[in-house]
Amino acid sequence: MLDQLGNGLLLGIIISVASVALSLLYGVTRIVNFAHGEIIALGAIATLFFSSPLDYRVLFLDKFSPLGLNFVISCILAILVCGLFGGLLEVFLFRPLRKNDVGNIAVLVVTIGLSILVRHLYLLFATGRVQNFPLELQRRQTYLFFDMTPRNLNVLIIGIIVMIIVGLLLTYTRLGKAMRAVRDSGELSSVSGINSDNIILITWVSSSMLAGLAGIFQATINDVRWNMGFLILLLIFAGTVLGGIGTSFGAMVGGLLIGIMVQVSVGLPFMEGHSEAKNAVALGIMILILLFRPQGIFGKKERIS
Amino acid sequence: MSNNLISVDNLKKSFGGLKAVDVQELSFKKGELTSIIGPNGAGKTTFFDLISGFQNADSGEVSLKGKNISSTQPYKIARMGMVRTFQLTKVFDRMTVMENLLFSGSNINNDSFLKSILKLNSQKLYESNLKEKANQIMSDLNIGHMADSYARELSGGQKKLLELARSIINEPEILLLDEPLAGVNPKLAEDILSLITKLSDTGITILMVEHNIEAVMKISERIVVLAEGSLIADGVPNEIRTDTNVIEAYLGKADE
Repeated sequence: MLDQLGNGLLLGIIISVASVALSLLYGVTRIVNFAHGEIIALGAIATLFFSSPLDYRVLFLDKFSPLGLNFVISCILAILVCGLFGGLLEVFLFRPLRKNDVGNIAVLVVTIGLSILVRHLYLLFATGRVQNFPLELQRRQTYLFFDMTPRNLNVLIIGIIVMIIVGLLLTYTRLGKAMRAVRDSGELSSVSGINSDNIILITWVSSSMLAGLAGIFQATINDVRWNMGFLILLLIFAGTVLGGIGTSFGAMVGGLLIGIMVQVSVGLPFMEGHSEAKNAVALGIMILILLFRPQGIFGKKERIS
Repeated sequence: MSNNLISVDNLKKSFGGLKAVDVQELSFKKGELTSIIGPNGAGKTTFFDLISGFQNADSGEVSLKGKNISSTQPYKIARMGMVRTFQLTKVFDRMTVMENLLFSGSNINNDSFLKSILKLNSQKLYESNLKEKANQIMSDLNIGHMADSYARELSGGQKKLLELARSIINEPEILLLDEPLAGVNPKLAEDILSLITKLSDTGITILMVEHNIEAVMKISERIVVLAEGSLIADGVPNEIRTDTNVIEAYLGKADE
């Protein structure tokens, strides 16, 4: 079982970063964003487009050649593209919906529609082929009690650093407080001089950039697929709910736990030869935990009145 | 004219066929303590919404300190020094009482992303200076012992007090109070009333919507009466008490 711990940590860090992003957006806007997976995939696909060698003509209907940029620069550009995409979604789609008082369920259905639309645009323009980042293969090494490639170790470390930074920003800055304020009451925030539209825009952009980073992680560890975000979307929801929905710290820990439970369960005796079913055990455990702690691990009980 | 802090000119707002607000001319002077009364559905809260930017009027103009604010967003109006409360009490549920006050009281112009990161230290300094003020206000309102409780854990009356505390910590020029006494026990109502009087004495301009006529008569310097969206009376409490239009609006026309 322990030999799966490395894989579990890696899956965990992907889900964790993506869960923080999802939770941040839900926390401020109350939007359950089913299109979150597509922003994750955008991070990976954009990185692939920016970084693949010029003669690598598999992408984009074979019409556009990739840009062949430095990999790190490609990642940064891709994250910016994701932020821009999230910002555009807010300005041209979700803000008008909010101004027209469209209900939460209707907005949820819009995100489902958006998810299906964008995902199939990827299928059209980026093809259904499984592709890899232009990185050389590395051999796994043993670190402490888990093993992974040096590159994936970097992914893990970067992920943890990013989450600590995000956590600190949310807790200690005026912006983080403004986000919590807008979450509690947009109207009251306005009375306190907060431009809540602006805060929501910043939330969309930062959530989308984090999602893009999660996509780059996922593609670095595994590969790039048109539906890669959709494939882990349910695990991200699970991580968010397990930690306590709307709490960023909870999403971090919940995401890591889900990732570890999914991978470690592969090593269970009765899972021999059934590793495809690995999600079942993790999600079963999640349901059990929620039975005993409905508000999630870090969620707080609300006073109803 | 120049000492009119807020003026309303030909302000109209309707919902479907229902005329919610239709006020020809109304203005409020600096330092006045004015109550707005009227039967249910008279358009009092809509009037508040229109002057605080939460709703846009169909036609007409609202000006604050001589500046037209008819289509100005609420947060900008708040930054101009006009702060309001809500009929259904609103507090930042997931912040502690202290955090509520520090948040509302801190410099409200630095919520951009970069500034919020760059000014991390100055923000802290600002908050530590503010803490003393927050403590003072909390002890004045008898919620000092709740400073570290989450706002969602407060009772209805305590939330009302927190809302008041929150709205005065920034020393607004104008305070719009939407039913400050609703759902509050008599003892607490007394406290709130004396606080409002005290605030008014410090020179804050106060507009208050309130159903408790007795309280209104006691503390107001001026009373404005709305019925079906229109202004039907405007004067000092004693004039309003005997105004036939007002009595009709509340009790219906006397039968012949």
